[in-house]
Amino acid sequence: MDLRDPTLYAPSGVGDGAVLLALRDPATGTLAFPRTPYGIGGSGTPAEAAEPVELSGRGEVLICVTVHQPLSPGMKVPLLVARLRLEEGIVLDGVLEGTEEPAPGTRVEAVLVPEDREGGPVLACRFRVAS
Amino acid sequence: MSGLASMRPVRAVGIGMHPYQFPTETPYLALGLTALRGALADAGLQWPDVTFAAIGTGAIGMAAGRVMLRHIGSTGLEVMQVENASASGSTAFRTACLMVASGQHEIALALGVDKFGSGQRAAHKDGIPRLTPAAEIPAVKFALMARAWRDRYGLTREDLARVAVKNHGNASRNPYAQFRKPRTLEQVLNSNPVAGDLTSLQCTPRGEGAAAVIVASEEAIRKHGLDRSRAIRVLSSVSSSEHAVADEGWSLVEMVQRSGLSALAAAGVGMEEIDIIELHDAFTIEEIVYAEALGLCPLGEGAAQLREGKWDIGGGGCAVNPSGGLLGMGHPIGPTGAGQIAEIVRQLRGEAEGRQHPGARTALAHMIGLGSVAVGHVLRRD
Repeated sequence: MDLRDPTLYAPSGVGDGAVLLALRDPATGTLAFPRTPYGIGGSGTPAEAAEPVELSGRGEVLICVTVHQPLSPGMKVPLLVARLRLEEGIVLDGVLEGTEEPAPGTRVEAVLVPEDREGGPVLACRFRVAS
Repeated sequence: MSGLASMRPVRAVGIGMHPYQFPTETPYLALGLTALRGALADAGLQWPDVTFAAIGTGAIGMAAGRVMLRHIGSTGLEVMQVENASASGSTAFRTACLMVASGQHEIALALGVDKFGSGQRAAHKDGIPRLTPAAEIPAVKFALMARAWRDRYGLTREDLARVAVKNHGNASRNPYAQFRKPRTLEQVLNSNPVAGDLTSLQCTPRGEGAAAVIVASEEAIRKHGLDRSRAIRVLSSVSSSEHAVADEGWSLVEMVQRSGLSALAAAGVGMEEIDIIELHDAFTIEEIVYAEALGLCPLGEGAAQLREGKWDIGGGGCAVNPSGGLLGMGHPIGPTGAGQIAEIVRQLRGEAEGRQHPGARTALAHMIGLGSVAVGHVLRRD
């Protein structure tokens, strides 16, 4: 099955786990996610001077809310949206599996799950409470 | 010395509004020209007296100004269209002020006008996929903020809802507001859940409308015999954008704080002198977070101040969003920032019938826009 966003994530090789695709400034260690052709906004480093790296996809929940209304076309609710801090220090927003809001500090990991799309299902990145 | 303080004085001399309303088939020309004719009449000016117009709009499209203004007369004035997301009207006002303050023009118009658009943004065209597009929807983003502030400062659902109760109450007394019904705490809390703790009455409505402000130099005020007692001095005008801070993604709040303090400093005014703040409350959480960031009260004390009625009109302190704010008055995008200025001018003149904040002399208008950008103005009655 194809990935929904192959420039953002890839299979980790362990079960349905995923890694996130990022850029790293070799001089300062500054990370940028997502990986874009424009480089690292935080340091102004152009993409050609940065190195591609994979982020573990593991992190902790900072905050999480339930979206109750379909606020964009095709959105299925209830939907859990969380702000996460990855092990590598990057803060990003992700969709969590399930409908139960986890408490701040809960450990999560990125996984690839089938998502219905016109033309057939694709694998999308979600975050799952770590076992 | 920098900004307006280093240039010649500029004053707001005329204001006009088309009430904000839910989307209709009314052409934007009807909205904009109503506000413009209102501002000219309020100032006591004729259209040919105005030599510069900044048109703030987000959704109408290219060259809205000329298409609209030719129906009041093609006078050859300089016309500029300004798009700065929710801060488009504020930026139009800033541009008009700078045109007069710098001596480029004697009398300038800032006019915000908008119809409800597709909501399409440049960020949708950047070619970069998002891990979670849902998190970029404003209602979700601010629901996350509300949850973060609940965890950090103990903000409750009722605290959030009180912002909507106050602002819908203010809007019910504002003839230009989109929502004209006062709401109870129960009504706000029991309205449809949207995201997190935010309910539908805690979210700004979609809409349309127009707001116009005419600014003039001292020389123009004398030349045209305008009523100087109703001309409100613009003390400062600042504009900036977000820079990254390490605070779990809340660099927006730092931007609000920095730009607000910068507007006050440029005006030579302390927050304790501010009688009125009009600020961006598209979602209830924003009013509490931004009022604290602007220094109206210590961090974490906004909810208590709201509960005690200190942000009310006539509450004995600084009235926050006496217009009803974006929650109650509405947020048609292009006009919103100019509408804030119109409300402030009305309040500082003592002409806000039915919702007048007693003794109002100095006010702060603060607006943010997608991106994020921030625009602040301080105005004062002599």
